[in-house]
Amino acid sequence: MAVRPTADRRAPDPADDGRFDALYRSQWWPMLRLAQGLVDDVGSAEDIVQDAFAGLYRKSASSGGLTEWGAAAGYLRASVVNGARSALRRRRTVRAWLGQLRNDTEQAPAADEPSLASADQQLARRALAALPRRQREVLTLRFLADLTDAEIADATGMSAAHVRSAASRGLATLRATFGGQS
Amino acid sequence: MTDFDTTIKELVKGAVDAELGGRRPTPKFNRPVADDRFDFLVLDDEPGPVGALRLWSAPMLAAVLAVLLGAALMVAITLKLDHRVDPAHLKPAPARPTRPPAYFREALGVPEAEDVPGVSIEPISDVDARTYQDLGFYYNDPQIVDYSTPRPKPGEPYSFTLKYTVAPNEEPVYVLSWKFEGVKTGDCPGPLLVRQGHTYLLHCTATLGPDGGGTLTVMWHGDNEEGGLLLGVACSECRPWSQSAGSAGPSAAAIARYAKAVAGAPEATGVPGVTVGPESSENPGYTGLGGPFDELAGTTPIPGVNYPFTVEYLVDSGDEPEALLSMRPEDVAAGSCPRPFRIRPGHTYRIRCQVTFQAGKAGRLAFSRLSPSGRQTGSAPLLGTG
Repeated sequence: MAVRPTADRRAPDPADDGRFDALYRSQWWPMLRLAQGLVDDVGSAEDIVQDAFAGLYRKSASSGGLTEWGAAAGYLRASVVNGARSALRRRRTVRAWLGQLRNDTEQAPAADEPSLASADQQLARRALAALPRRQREVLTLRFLADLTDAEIADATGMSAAHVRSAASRGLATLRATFGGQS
Repeated sequence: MTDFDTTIKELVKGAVDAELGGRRPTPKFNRPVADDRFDFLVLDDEPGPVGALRLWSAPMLAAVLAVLLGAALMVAITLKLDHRVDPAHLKPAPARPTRPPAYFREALGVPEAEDVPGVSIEPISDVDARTYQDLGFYYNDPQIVDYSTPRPKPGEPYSFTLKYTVAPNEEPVYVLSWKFEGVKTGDCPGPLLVRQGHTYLLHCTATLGPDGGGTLTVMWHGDNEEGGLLLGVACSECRPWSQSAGSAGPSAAAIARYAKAVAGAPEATGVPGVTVGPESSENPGYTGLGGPFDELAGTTPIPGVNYPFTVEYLVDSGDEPEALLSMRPEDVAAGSCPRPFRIRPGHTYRIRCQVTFQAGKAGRLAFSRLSPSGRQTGSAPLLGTG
């Protein structure tokens, strides 16, 4: 059976493809770092970043195209945050079903796998991972993406006041964890 | 950013980079297959039987939906007329949003709040909604709003109402549970499921032990967040909570009761062990414990040894004009903090306390903040772990 292309779709614009490729090259690593900070699992982080770029690509190839390329990094960050939330929710659901809510063994590195991170770095990572979800997201975006509170609010969908409060509470907890090391 | 913020930022960055094995080359981007650039409902001129079915399926589906919509509209109009003639329906019951995730119901077996005796469900009050609107956020802080007697006595049963509100910006559903400690008897409804945008009133009963003390820890567990708050159940100044629940601010009577309760309490500057500083620029809009227990975090305490420590209490500049703050170590062999003192907005208070731990117990620091609006209590682990 014959099919024909619909009229309201457009062929990819080579100029957009070029912009997309440049954006991909410049933003892939920062987004992977951010995703890894949020989900603590390299495989999931890579999937999240790929999905975020795939979403952006579809948007750029849709009928309206992507008109605001300057906002593309913000779109990607929000996609990564949402992807990480979904991944963590799926992970938690699976663990709940398996009765392993408190069992973190699957996240622990193998005994013969040397860790490249120092003891302080690992402590910082664990302390950050132990924060409530919103505090963790806010501080991860601040630490790993160097975002302002307003940019964090855009990426997470929280109000700016809530971002400031979550950051304060999270930092207070981290200070308590690190004690005199500050 | 403070030195600490910079340090922790670099540590986290270093840890994440180490997990990723250092900077990697950017992989090739696999462009999504553009199969959605073709509309399979648009067929050629000779569709054939299957093609014809596809061709007509969209208009037929639209016609069926139109009929169903019309029927639903008629039912809705009928129900609305029924409500108009029945005064009982003038104030609709709180809307019940989506069902909770299946794993909450099935893995934990927790019932709906409406199925639990002794629980009332209300929409968020206008006062709470205004608070939410003004601040942009608030937390799921539980409150005791009504006691059957203002001064419960040891050995005599009494009742009270625990109010718990799930803010509109919180998770869709939480499991709410509780634990009494230090009382002779204590009981509240639950555990139960509580939902975003609603207020729950739990009707509880308790009998204080011989020492007249006792606490109620309220715990909430959501999909991504969990928390808890320790409340004193032997509160003799509990009435102001019920005042604040029904009005925009504390009444004159509540202010008078507060003034009587704190009569003679000193200013912070007059209390040994307390230093007063300006409002913290790192914690705008926040009132509560901040950065506590620097000296104790990571300590493995030796029973019998006295450990001094400093705790910070921050008061936001927009907070109430005055409150009385008291603190004491709990679940420890011995310990003390300076006597209660008055706190005022826009200041940071550094309070020097000391503690001797019990073997195998981390201990907690309990605090109580009394103001004309009511009493707020809470606690935090002394060693930075639960």
